[in-house]
Amino acid sequence: MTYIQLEDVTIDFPIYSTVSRSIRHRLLQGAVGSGISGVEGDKTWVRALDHLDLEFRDGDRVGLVGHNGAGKTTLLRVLAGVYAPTSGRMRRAGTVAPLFDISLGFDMERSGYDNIVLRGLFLGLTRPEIEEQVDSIASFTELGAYLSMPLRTYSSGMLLRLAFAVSTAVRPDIILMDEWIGVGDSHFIERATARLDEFIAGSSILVLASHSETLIREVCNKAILMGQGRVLAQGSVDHVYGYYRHFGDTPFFNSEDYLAENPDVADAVVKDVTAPWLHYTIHGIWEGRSPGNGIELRYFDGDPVFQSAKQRSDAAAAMDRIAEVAPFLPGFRAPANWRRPANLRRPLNFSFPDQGDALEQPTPPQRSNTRS
Amino acid sequence: MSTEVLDSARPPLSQAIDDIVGGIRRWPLWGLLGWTDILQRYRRSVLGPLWITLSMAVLISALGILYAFLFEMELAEYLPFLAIGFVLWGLISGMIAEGCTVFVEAEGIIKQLSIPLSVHIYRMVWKNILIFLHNVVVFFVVALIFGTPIGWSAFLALAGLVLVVANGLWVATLLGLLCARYRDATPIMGSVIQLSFFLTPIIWKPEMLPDRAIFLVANPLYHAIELVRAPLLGDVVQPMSWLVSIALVVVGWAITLPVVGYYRAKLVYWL
Repeated sequence: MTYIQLEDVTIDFPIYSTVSRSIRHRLLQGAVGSGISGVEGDKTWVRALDHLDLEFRDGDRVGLVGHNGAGKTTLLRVLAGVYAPTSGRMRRAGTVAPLFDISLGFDMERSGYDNIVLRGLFLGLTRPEIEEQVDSIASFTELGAYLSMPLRTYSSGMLLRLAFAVSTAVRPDIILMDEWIGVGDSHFIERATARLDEFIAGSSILVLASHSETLIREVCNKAILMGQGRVLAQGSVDHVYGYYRHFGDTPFFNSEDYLAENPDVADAVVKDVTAPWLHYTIHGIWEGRSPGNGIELRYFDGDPVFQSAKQRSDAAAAMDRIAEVAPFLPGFRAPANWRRPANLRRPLNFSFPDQGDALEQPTPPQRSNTRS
Repeated sequence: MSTEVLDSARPPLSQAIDDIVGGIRRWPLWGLLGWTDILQRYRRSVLGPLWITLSMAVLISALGILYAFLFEMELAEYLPFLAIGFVLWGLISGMIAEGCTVFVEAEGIIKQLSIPLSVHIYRMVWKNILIFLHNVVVFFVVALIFGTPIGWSAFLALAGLVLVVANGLWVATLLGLLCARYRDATPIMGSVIQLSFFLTPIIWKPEMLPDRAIFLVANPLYHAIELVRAPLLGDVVQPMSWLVSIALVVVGWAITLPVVGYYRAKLVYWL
C-alpha cells in the first residue's frame, strides 16, 4: 500500500548569516502579520510550510499549483524525505523517485556507461538490476559509441537524454517532479513522452509542481493550490483552478484597490513578501480589511452566511458571499471591468445593516473595455 | 521489493541506527564514489593513482634522510619508522580533515535525495583507506630495502587498523555535523590537526621525550598510530594503547549514535 501522510507539518528554515540581524530586520518589517517569518531568541527563521495536513493515496496524480515561493518545491522536498518536518509528522510508504535534478551524481570525467551505473546506484538500484537494464537504457538514448566517451564530450542535449533515460529506468511507487522533465530534441520528444507516460503509469502516486495549467489538466486528477506555505484549496483540478482564478481575478477584488486601501500591505508587496490577493485570502478577509471598491466588511458582521464561512476559514465561500452582496452595498464602486449580469438579484437572506441606504441598484460603468 | 516506510516521528536512536546500517548496505554506491574521487584527481595522467604512492615515496625519502641526519639516527632504523608513521598519519588526518567538510561538500546530494547520511562518511573513509593502501606500499618497500623483519605479529596491525577506522568513522560523523552547523569549526580543526602532527611521535620517537608517559598517554592519536606501527616494526603494542583505542570506539559511538539521531534531520537545514 503506497501512501504519504502529512500531519500538521511545518517547515521553518533557520537563517544563519553574518548579516542575520539586518535580514531579521527586513523580514519583520515586511511581515505584516503574515506569519512567514519570526525571531525567537537569537534565531531568525522563515516559515516555508505552515501546518500542512495532506494525504496522498494510491492512484493520486496531484498537481501542485501556486506562485513562486508558495512552498511547492519545499513540499516536494518534504515528500522526498529531504527536509524533515520542523514540527508535525510525515509518514510515507513506498519507494520514491525524486526527479528534481535528473543529472545529479553524474561524473563528467567518466563514460556514459559508467554514469548509467553511478546514477542507477544513486537511485537505489542494485548492480544486477542496472546490468539488466543497461542495454535498454543505452539503446533508448541513441548515443551509440558516445556512451564509451567521457561525459564532458557530450552536448547538453545528449546529457539530458542520458539523464532522462536512466531516471526513468527505475520503477518507483512514488514520483515527485518539480516541473516536467523537458527533452528538447524534436525527434526524441515523441519517444521520450511515451517513455515518461509509461514511467508514470507504473507508479501509484505522482506529485507534480508546475506553472502550466495545460500540463496539470492533462496529467493530474487532483490539485493543491498553495500560497505562503499553506494549502489554499485542494480537490479536483477544476475546483482548484476555479478557486485560483476567482481570487486572482475576481471583479470584486482588485489588487490596486486593495493596496490603495491598505498601505501596510502595499509595503509588504513591494518587499516581495506576498501577493495582494494572497494576503487578502489568508489574512485580510479575516482581519476585516476592506478589499477596496467601497466594500466594507462591517456590513457582513451580522450575516450568517459570511460568518459561517469565516468560522470554517473558508475564504472561497466568504469571497463568494462578498461578490454576491457587494453590488447592493451602499458606497459600492463597480470595478471598471465589471458588467452587470442579466440575472443579478439582491440576495434575500442578507440583512443590510442600514435600510436607509441599502437598496441602491448599481449603475453599470459607462466604459465598455472588458477583460476576458 | 519490500515496502519502504518512512516516518519522521520515529525515535531518534532507531533513525540513527537505520542511517548507519542502511548506509553500509549502499556499499556499491559509496564504494564506486570513493574510488571515483581518487581517479578524478589523476585523470589523464599516465601513472594515475600511482602518483599517490610516488609522491609519498619522495616525501618519505627526503624527510627520512634529513631527520635521520638531524637526530643522528641509523637510516635503517629511522626510515621504516617514519614511513609507516607518516602513512598512518595520512589516513588519520585525512579522515579528520575531510570529516569536517564531508557534509558541506555533499550539499547537492543531501538537498536532492534522501539517502543515508552515513553514505557520505563511508565514501570519504573508503577513499582515505584506498589512499592509505597506495601509500603503505612505500613502507613495505622501505622495510624490504632495510631488511626490517615483518613477522606474524604484523597481523595485529590489521586489528589495529580496524580500530583506527572505527574511531575515524565516528570522529568524521561528529565533525561533519559540527562543521556544517558552525563553519568556523573547519579552519579551527585545520589548525588542531597541524599542531597534532608535531605533538604526535611521527617524525620524532617516543623515547626522545624525557618524561614520555604523561604527555603521550593523553594523546589518543599516539595510541592509534602505535596500534599499527608497533606490530609492523616488530615492537610490542602496550596494552594501554589497545585499551584507550577500544574505549574510544565504545564511548565515541555511544555519543555519536544519539547525536546522529537528533541532528540527522537538522543537517539539511544547515547547508
